[in-house]
Amino acid sequence: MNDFLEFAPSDSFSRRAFLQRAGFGFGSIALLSLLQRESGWAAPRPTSHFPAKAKNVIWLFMEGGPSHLDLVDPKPLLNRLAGQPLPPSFKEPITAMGEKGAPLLPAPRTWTRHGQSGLWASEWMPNIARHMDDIAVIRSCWTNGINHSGGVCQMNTCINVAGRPSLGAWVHYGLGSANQNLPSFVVICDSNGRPVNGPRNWGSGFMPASHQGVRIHGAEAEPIRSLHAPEHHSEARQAEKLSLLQRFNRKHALEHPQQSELEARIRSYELAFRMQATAPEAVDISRETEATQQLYGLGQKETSSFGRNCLLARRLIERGVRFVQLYNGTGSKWDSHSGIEKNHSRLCHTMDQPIAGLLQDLKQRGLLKETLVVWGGEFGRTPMSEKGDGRDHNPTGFSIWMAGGGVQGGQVIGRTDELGLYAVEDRMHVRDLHASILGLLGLDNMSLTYDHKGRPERPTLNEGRFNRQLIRA
Amino acid sequence: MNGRGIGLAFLLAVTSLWQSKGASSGERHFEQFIRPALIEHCLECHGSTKQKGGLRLDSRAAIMAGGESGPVIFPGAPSESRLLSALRYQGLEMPPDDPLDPTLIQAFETWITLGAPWPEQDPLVRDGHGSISESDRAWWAFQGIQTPAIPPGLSPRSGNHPIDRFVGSRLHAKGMEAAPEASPSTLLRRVYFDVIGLPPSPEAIRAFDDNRRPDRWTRLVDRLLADPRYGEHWSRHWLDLVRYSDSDGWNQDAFRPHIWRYRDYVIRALNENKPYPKFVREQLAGDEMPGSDPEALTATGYLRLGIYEYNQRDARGHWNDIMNEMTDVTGDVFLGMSMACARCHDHKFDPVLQKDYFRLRSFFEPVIWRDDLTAANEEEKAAYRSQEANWEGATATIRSDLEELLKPYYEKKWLSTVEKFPLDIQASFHKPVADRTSLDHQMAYLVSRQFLEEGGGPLKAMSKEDQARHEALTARLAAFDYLKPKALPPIMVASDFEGPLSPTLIPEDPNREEIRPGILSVLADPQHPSLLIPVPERGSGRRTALALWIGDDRNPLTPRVIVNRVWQQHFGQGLVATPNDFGHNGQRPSHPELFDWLTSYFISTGWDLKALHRLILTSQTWKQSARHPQAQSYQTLDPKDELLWRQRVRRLTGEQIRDAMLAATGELTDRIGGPSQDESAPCRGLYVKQFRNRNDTLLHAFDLGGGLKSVAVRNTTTTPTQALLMINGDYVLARAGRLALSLLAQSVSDPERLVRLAIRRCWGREPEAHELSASLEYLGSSLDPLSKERLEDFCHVLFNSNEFLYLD
Repeated sequence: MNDFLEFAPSDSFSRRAFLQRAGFGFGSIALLSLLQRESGWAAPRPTSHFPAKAKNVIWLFMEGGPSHLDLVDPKPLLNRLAGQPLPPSFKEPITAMGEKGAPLLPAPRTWTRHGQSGLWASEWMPNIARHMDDIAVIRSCWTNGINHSGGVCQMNTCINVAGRPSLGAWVHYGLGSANQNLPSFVVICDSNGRPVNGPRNWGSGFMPASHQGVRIHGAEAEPIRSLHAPEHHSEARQAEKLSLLQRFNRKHALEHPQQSELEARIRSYELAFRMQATAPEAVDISRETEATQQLYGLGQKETSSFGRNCLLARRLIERGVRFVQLYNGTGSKWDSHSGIEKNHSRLCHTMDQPIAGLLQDLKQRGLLKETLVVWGGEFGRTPMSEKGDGRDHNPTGFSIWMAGGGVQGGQVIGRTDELGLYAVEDRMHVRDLHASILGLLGLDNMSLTYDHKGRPERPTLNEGRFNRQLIRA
Repeated sequence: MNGRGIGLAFLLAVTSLWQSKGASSGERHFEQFIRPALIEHCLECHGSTKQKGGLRLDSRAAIMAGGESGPVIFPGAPSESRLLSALRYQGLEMPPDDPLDPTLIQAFETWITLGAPWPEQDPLVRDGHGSISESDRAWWAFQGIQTPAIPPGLSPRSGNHPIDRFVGSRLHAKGMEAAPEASPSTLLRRVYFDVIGLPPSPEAIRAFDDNRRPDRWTRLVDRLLADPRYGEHWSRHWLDLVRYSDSDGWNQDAFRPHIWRYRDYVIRALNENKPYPKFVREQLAGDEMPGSDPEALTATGYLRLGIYEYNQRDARGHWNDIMNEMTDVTGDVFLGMSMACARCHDHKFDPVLQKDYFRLRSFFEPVIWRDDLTAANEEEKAAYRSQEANWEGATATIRSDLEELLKPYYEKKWLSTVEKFPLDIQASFHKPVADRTSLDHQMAYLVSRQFLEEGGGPLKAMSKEDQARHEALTARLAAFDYLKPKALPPIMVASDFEGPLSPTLIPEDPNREEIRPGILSVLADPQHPSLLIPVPERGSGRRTALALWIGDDRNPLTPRVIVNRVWQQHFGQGLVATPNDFGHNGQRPSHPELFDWLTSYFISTGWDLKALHRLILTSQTWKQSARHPQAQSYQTLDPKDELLWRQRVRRLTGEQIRDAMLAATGELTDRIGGPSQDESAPCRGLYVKQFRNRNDTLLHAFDLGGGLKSVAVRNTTTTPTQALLMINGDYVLARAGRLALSLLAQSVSDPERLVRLAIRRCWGREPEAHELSASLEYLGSSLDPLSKERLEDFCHVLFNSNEFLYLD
């Protein structure tokens, strides 16, 4: 992998191999076009497979598994049968905690229809509810991951076992970067916690590390690790070092003509320095008006943490970051095996106003039509109780909602059974969800391939279908 | 049956496993040249999607039918065949971008002269229909290994070295010449990094410079190959291949405190230069080897390297994943065949049947994981037992009191643990071992791990009085600790279940046909498709059979695969550029004759890895410079960069970058092996704890393998993240500070000598005049206290320089 000139356009293997293995990081497109200019080599540009509806994705990940039964999938029968065991007409599910024969737990919610579409939402999301006409609720999701590790892994990579690239990495691989000075795939966790599985969730699996997500610590002075030199290193000192470095490197490169990787590394330092200038501005929310900050719930104790992240997400996508994943309840906080009322009412409060603010802000800036907002956890929760007042994991039926990015709002897709245990109609597996997100971005999940060990790997493991109901007019 | 008898019976049986050459020479010619050329150069415009000029070239019938302007070939009459004139750019010019390589055009002529033979399985892309055809068997990687004649020396540069002769003859045919030999300092740095993974010390540089013996190079190579750091460096590649990691890999990503003993086994095996088949056998079936060598047992840590977590309710699915993954990795690592496709269906491109996948998996079906064994020899075990008996005798009453106290609490925890699992798993667990099948036992093992590892042990639930009693008893027990033997070295290993084995089944096979262990159909004699399994002293013998088949001299894949891996690590690219895929989707060998010759040489030395290194490192092909005066024009002659007319510039691996910094500062510890260390320890990168769920360390930024899948070639990325970590990161800044300190500690007051010393440590050579002046200018004229900071910055610049990060 030495030289671009070796990868003549006719030599598809080498060119592909080069792009895959050398995988220049964010800024890759800029770097490639630069080298293309210098070497006369034509770089293939990442292209979409069909017209894209969405340009960016903001994925609001409610980690731990929020209860669809208490938010967007009302089940009157559940309250009627509360306290009784699951009727025998229902297949006995495997539950994560293994509590057998637990009685059904009511969902004491106040349900209201909203907007022109009349979509149902509970009192736990009063602000988001105002946007139901922009929201498509998918009530028929299912997954294989029954525990948090498998579930979060699958929701990110389509499979519950570690080793595959995350969706954000695939998007970066497929579409490249739109801002050479910022990473293309960014992850922000609330409370600076560690989500289940850690950074593996935004890893690039078998693809080069340059496709992996970059974690941003929005509330810290140094949002990206090692972005700045230590404080006692003055700018002048840094500049002098760099100048000597480039002097050595230029000479070295001259002695090694036809070795463009050396040139690329020289450029990578220049890009790094441009990033130092760009990234702090991108995460500086003090540049936002008071009204905007209010909109996201900043200034209120419960909502300011996640509100800040939502606001950051908007600033990042405005600057060309393609894929932003925000963890809410980082570290399985939504996991409510007991005391779901207390747990969920608190967590819903932390996310409701920030998300409503995000939707409104995106809309008024004209960004919602090109930004896909996805809300959901790794699974839902059971209608059966656990430990008396909690709910266990439910991978067999749960809800996710999407808004913006070409999605037709005000509709419900799919259905769970009368108790919300199993998805029964228009079932969408995680693979279908990913295929649909890719589809909205203009990427066909079966055409996007990465050759790995002689196997054309696809983001959705050769399965999954773009559910076009999402974009029906 | 005694061990000797088994061996003989096995050998007799295995003899018939190697297929006789089935395909005709014409068909082999087709497979070797014509099929790949048609796929690569023609089908885009003349295949199933497009038929320019009405011509299709994807089956014999289609070729014979010709296009809009008539037939394109006349079998036996190349001069009449328009296909050939088009390839020669006489009239039509095909392929339109660039003419084919003349040798390939010649191959088309030969093919037409031979009557355009086309194997009976017509289409160019495999139809998966559950069988293996003669054309499948004719694929290059499945052919027996030949020993081609070494080509004559055609240019003075090719000398007498066989590698140079083979490489030289390809270059000569293209009118090209190899690059001149690299400078001694370049070679020294290259050979150090290539063999022991570290830069030469200034003393080593001086010793080499002062050595005027004519054989100084071979002596150096031998010395480095005998250096224990050779095993450290080369183990890294093997550990990447087998996806070694220090952690479990699910959410908890628990640290594996004992797995490093497997890592150390690999280091020792390489340093001892074990014949490769022995290395293979110890890892796959060391538990079944005769005798009781703890080393062989430790090697079965190979069977423990996959992803695991105790806290998995779906025990059956978890184990199934573990077995499948073990199968995948074995195909990748030893056979260079990507098997995973065949898990769900016959492989689309390669002759690997779904049955073949499960035959391979079947070898592993009886595997059970063992945490109760140790790396001690018989003598140590006996000593342990006798001392333990003393301690047991002295503590019998206390222990039985303790046991009685804990019993109800343990029982309660067992109950609550087992209840969490589905009913069928509970049933497996409750069976007495004698009534279990292998699957029952495997399930019971997973349940037991849940019991052992889940937090909140019995003590938590204990009553106050019992807690007090417990404390008193343990204190009394501790008083006898002086009698207690020191624990024997624990290991993570595997063996076979000794009871009835559960059948291997293909999922959703309505007939539930048991799949017996067996080798790839394409390599088997169609008359005798299965292996005879030997009966070893213990275990089922299945994995022993697999290991012996993999390590057999006649296996066409194993020796090629490992020779290619060694070559790749010395040249940055293998003779086959896709080292874990020798199938149709991979690349073909760039130098088929050299490849076969080398492989046959390797087998003739008894699969001696160090002999292979030595052969490569003494060739001019390896020693040539990375710079070539004709580089620009040669690149167009060799667009794939495979003819070896220069060495490749290679970026150091993450470990090498880290180790080289620690070597330059003098911090690097020279302890070989031992438990894995924290990131901050000044040990080699190899020994830094690798967690599967992390991807954010300096090593990861420089493309660490990750330990999730078999990695045969590391990615080489160039990212601003790396630049940020190198220029701003604490770790590198701290190393620069240490280098500056260690330079100052030399109590050298002459700045020029300081610069020389720093450059020697970082670049392995003397600075040139302009480098010296630039450095001195940067440092300022004197070294007053203020400019220590300046010296630090200078060292930091050296660590960031391309000359430090790359090898040429």
